[in-house]
Formats: sequence, C-alpha cells, structure tokens
Amino acid sequence: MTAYTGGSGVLAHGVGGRQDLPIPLSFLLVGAGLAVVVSFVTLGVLWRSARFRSEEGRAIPAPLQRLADHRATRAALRLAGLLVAVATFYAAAFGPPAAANPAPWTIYILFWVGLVPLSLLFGPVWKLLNPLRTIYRAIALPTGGTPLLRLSPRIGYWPAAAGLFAFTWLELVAPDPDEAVTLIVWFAVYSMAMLVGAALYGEGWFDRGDAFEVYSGLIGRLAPLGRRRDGRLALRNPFKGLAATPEGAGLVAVVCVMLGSTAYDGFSRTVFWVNLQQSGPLPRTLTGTLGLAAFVLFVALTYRLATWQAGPGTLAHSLIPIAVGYLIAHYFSLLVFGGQQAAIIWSDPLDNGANLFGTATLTVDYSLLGVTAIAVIRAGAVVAGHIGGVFAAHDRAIAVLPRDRALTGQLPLLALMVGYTVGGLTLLFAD
Amino acid sequence: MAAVLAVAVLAAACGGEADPGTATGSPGSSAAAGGTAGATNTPGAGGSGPASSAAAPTPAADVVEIRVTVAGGKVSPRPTVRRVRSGQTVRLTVTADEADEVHVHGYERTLKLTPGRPATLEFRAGQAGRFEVETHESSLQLLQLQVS
Repeated sequence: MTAYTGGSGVLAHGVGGRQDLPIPLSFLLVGAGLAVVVSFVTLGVLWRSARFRSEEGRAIPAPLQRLADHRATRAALRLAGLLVAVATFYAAAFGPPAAANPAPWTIYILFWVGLVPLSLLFGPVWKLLNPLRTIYRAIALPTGGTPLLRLSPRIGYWPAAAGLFAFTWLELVAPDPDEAVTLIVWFAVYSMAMLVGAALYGEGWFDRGDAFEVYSGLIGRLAPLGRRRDGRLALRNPFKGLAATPEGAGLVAVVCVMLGSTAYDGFSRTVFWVNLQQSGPLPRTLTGTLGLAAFVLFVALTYRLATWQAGPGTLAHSLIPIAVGYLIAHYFSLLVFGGQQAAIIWSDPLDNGANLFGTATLTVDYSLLGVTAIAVIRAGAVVAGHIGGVFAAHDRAIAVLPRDRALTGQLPLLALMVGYTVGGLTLLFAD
Repeated sequence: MAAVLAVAVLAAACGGEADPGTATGSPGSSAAAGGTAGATNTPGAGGSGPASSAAAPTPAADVVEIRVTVAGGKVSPRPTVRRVRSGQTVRLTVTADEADEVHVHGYERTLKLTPGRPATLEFRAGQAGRFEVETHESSLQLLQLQVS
C-alpha cells in the first residue's frame, strides 16, 4: 500500500506533496547584488575578444568511446527507454488512480525533472532513449524511411516550442494533471503528432520537432561531454558547447517557453494567484492558461526588445543557462524527495500489495536535505545560471557586434538578465 | 580584586537568573515567537496540548488552531500562508456545504467532510516546508501551511 489515498488534486501543481520554503530575504539581496556586480565586471573588465567559438575538447579514451558508441550499448538504451515507457503506460492504464499510480511520478519527476541533470551531465540523452524514435525506426525499417517532404528551415524548432508549451500546460494548468486518463490522452496525441511528423520528414524530425529531445539537447549543450566535429566524444568547456548551439527558427521560442513556464510554476503557487484562480471572474483553467501564456510572452517580448541590435537568434543560447538555473531552483528538491516516492510506488505499481523492488514499505526521507541547504542551492542555481548567461551573451556579443558598439550593444541584454535573475529570486522569496 | 569579585557575582547572578529562565522560559520564549497563534488559543493549548502530544513531548507543545469554511465553492477565510513552527500541533477544523475530503499534502493526512458538520484533524507539524491543504472533490486550496 502507498501512503497516498488517491483522488485528484494531489498533484495539482504537477507533482509532490512538499514544497520548498521561501528563501530568506538576505539570499535574495545577496543574489541580486552578485548578479549586478558579475554582469558589469564581465562587461567592463573580463575578456574583450570572443573565446568560446571553437568547439574542440579533450577526446575521451578510445575504448570508452567504442563502448559508448557500440551498437549493443545503443540498442540497450533504446530497449530501456521503450520498456520504461511500456511499463508506465501499463501502470497508467491498469493501476490505481491519481498519485497512487506510478505514471504521474514517472512522467513529471523521473522523466521531466530527471532529464535536466542527465542532460547536464551527458548531453542530449533523450535522443538515445526516446521510445518514439525507436518506434519510428521499427516502422520505417522495411521502407528505408525515405522522407516524403523536406523540413523547411522556417519550421525549425517551432514544433518543439509548441510541444513544450503543451507539456508545461499539462503539468501546470490542466485540471487533473495527475490522472492516468489525462496523461494517456496527452501522450497519445503527442505520440501521433511525432510519428506523423517523422513519417513526413524522416527521422531528422525528432532532432527539431520532438519537444523532449530539443529540451534535453539544449540543456545538454552545457554538458562537459560532447561530440567533436571529427566524431570523437570529448570533454569540453561547457561554454564552448553552449556557443555551438545550432541556431534555427523557433529557438528563441523554445528557450522562452522553458524560462517562462518555470517562472509561472513558481508564481502559480503564490496565494495571490491561487485566490485569483479560485475566486476570479474566469474559469480556473482559462486563468491558468492565460497566466502561463503571459509569462512566456513576457519573456519573449522583453528578450526581443533587449536583443534588437545583435539579433535575437544569435544570442538565444545565452538564455539556456538562465533557464537551467530556474529549472534547478524549482525542481531539484522535487527530484530528491519525489524521486524517492516514485521508487516507493514502483514497487507496488498496481496497488495490489506487491513489493517488486523491496521499497514498497519505505517512506520518503526528508532529512536528506536541510532547509538551509535547499535555500542555498535554489538561490545559487539562479545566480549561477545568470552568470553563465552573462558570460555566454558577452562572448557572442563581442563576436558579432561591431567593435565600437560591442559593449553598449550588450547593455540591454545584461540589464534584462539582471531583471530575470532578480525576478527569479523574488519568485523564490515570494509567498 | 574587587573588580574580579564584582564580575564573579555578576556572572553568578546572571547564571542564577538564566537557569530557571531556560527551564521554563525556553518553551515560553519560543511560544512568544509564534505569539499570534498562541494568543488565540491559550486555554486550549494548556488543556489538550500536552495531552495530545504526550507520545512526543516537545518544548513547543502549543496548538495552532485553523478554521476554514467552504461554501458555494468559496473558501473563507481566503487562502493564505499559515506559519507554524516545527513541533507545534496543528488543529484544522473544516466546515463544508458538500461532502468532500481534505488533503494535507506532504503530511498525507486526510479528513472526511460531511455537509454542514465541522470536522477536525489534528497533527504535529514536524517536517519543514510549504504544504498545500486542498479539497479533493471541489479541488479548492484552503490554505498553505508553512512549517519552519
């Protein structure tokens, strides 16, 4: 038996029972101060010519690379991704309702939140695990998978931006995000869209069109492990990996959805927003949808205004560290605590008294992380993301802007980044 | 010499004063920190506080009384953050106009509601964090419990 009694609303905000305490005011002030100082020191004192342009790195030992690239390794990863997806679907279809079911924990915590550290360490991992890509390969095997159409560069990352918005809507706004029916319907529609996309445009569709591959791939730009042009896996400076982020239409949109939706997640927990949703003039789901869209649009609009000189696309990668900082600040404790709950529930996925992994009778150990440690990590992640963003933006700005405008041209973006950071810290501090 | 003596006497005096102070004053002073909550329920806390937490005697054996009414899909008082110190006992009384179930997130405590009848849930707030208290059927947030 699980500790959960079922019923909707347990995962009203995506997942989890416990939320972090607000960070102390001193953390907000120190963090904001650091953000301002680092920004302007970077602008005025640090390097004056671009440093992150080459993507070389130190190749890992050849046997290690052979193992990583081996067909058996790749097949095992694909099989693992497929098996977990099938098990999750089975549990969703035949398991207990809502949060007593392992499916929402698997999807919102192990998958969605877990992709962040995995991608940060190893790069675009979802590309290797994605069960939809695996299914497509199986279907396309007999026909050779020749694309029917060429993917227009104008489409670019836009499908991924739409998919990411749809998923964050499911997690943060949908009426019953934890109900198996909701999850099955959402993922059925999403899977169909992806498979149709791949049938039309070939397997390359997943690189730009699959929201989760793009999400994992963009976070993975910051991984210390990457593939060089010569095909070797190499340890590299994360900033060089970041600077090599492939530009494309809709990249700004994807990053704005990442940043805006995470900020909305924090904002939507405030009692101000809860009251507006519960007693406001509009239906709850509509209020939530408008709120989420407003956050994403706000990020997009301010970003475009701040980058009109250098061009939004060329600086889009610099928002990735900021988005990752937000993601860590909002979700890392959820991964630590909710991840335990997921492991507990998976021992008894159908709620029939099974104890498959011997963890069914455990309870979540909240003593793993203290209150202060959590606050330090949360505020630290936002500030570290800011510093990463400023470094990346500065390096690109001096590369693309004319010399006489290289410093003044990046001022608006630096100011905006300070704004995002102070805003992000305020959300961590706010009620 | 005189100065040393004076310091010694002073120290002894302070120590003497502080000793009973810590024995009875520690719970007193920590209760004073949450004085707003304590002030409303002094008799209740004196009577049932120690009795209900007999299994786990804590220095802050006071009770925070929270009352919420749900009527016509509206929560009153409107949802706010209720601050509680770790170790305090929360006594939550909910009256609703429809059958429902209250769920205290994180603590995983539930409370069945029958229309028009106040139902009370009492638990010790140990784990620090922010916890939403919601109804299952009407999916309304009643309050956020902040334990620190």
